[in-house]
Amino acid sequence: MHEHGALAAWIDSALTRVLADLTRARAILADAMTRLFATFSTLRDQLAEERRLYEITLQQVNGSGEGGEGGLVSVLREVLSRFVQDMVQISASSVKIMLEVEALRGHTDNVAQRGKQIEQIAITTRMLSLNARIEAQRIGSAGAVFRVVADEIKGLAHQSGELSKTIRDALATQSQSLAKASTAVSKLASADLDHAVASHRHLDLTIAKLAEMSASSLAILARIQAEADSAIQALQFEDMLTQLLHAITDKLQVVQTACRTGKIDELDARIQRDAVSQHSLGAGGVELF
Amino acid sequence: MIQVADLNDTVTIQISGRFDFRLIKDFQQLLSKSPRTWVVDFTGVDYVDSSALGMLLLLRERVHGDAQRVLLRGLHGQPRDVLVMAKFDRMFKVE
Amino acid sequence: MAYTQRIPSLTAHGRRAPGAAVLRVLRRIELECQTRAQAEDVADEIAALLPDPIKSRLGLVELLLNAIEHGNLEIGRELKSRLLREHRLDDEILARYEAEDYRARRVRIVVSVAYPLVEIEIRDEGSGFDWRAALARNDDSNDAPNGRGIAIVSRTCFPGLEYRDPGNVAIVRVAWPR
Repeated sequence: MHEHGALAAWIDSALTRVLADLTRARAILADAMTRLFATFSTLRDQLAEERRLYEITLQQVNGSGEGGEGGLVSVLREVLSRFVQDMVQISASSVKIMLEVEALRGHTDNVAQRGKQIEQIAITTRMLSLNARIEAQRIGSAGAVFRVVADEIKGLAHQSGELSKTIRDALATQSQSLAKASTAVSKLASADLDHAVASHRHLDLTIAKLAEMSASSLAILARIQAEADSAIQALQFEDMLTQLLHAITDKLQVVQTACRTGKIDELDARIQRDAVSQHSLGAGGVELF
Repeated sequence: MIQVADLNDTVTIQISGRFDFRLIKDFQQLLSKSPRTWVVDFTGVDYVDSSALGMLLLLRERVHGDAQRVLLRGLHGQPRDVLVMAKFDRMFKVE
Repeated sequence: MAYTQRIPSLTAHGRRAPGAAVLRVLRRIELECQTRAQAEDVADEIAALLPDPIKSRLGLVELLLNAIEHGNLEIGRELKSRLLREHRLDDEILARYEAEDYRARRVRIVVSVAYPLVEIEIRDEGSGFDWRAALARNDDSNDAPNGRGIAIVSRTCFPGLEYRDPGNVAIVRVAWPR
């Protein structure tokens, strides 16, 4: 027993040192594992949250379903469309108004034309009445009544001529106003829609770009998430290392105890037992969460 | 410029160049006709402004809103962009 | 001689009117006159061929008297004014009828018919006048006793009245309504 005693003593102290190393290794590993796990868990949670927010934003922009109902893009399109509809309605009304104004101008011109005719008639009437008056004078007293009538006619013709001229002047002013109205309305009627079309096209391009960007962003997010997932998975398997180290530590402790006590038989049973539990560990894997 | 063909109860209006407010008077005169169908040929039209849309709406009123009775043919380029944006392809038959 | 015209009755004209059938086959009528009385007969005859006989007769007499007094007898507008004011017009006219230079002069009228159009040509033997100015006259304020005749005829009976230069041929065109 004594020549074994020195060896046993050496093995014992060596084992103590190895066990101390193992303990340190286990501590480091445990610490690293905890940290790694925490990091990847947090990363995974962050990614999940980011993706969630991203998807919400996308939905707000794109809306839901085929037509993108409720989305920002759909709203913008709707507004633009509504604007164009309104423009078109205004334009149609303006066209009608333009036609009305033109008709009114034609009518005004007609009335002015009539007025000119009336004035000419008035002049003729006055000339006739002048002749009649002179004839009446030549006839003498017999023509007195005739002369009076002729004068009355001349007076009336004069008034009608004046009236006609007044109407014509008023019409001229009206005509000017109508001309201005016509110009103003024609501007309204003939709006250029190219800007709206360009905006529409720009909007479409922006949407396409947005869709492109979000697709690739989501793809990247998904990939990072996948990597985080596999890292966590890998950590699960790394946890087996901890289990192994634990098993090794146990076995070495058993050996140390055996060296100290000499009771090999009882301890042998313990070593066998560990092997069984390790085997079951390898088979199933560990679910840490 | 407008060219009009009146055949088999169909009036075909062929416009070349700009379909804009300058055509309003001529267009109005056309509206006094009453065929069964109207065809507006846009093959030679390179530009429309909002009064063109207005005139088309007047035409639509003329057929009492029956989209089947007005056919828009040969839409391309800017006129097509404008009419589609204004959803006129839903209000008229488009070829 | 009274200056006023005799006003014929509408029925008198009605009896004279030849009717559309005749108008369609009629081509040409030629008339001639020298005196005032004859002028009135010419006017009656021609007016019967026209759609508005009474108005037309008034205009025709005016144009024929112009042809006689201003054209053939060469009594200018201003001279006539003076004569009228001095009440000497009729005497002057009678005197000039006897004058050597004027006694043989006649007013010749040609009526050309191409139904529904009737064209009347009144030709005098004078030397013409400023007919454009006469047509354009529209002063209704001055008290000149004469000078408005052509303007009034043009404005009331025969619109389109014109003269062939130098102004000794008056041309009237009338259309029957369909």
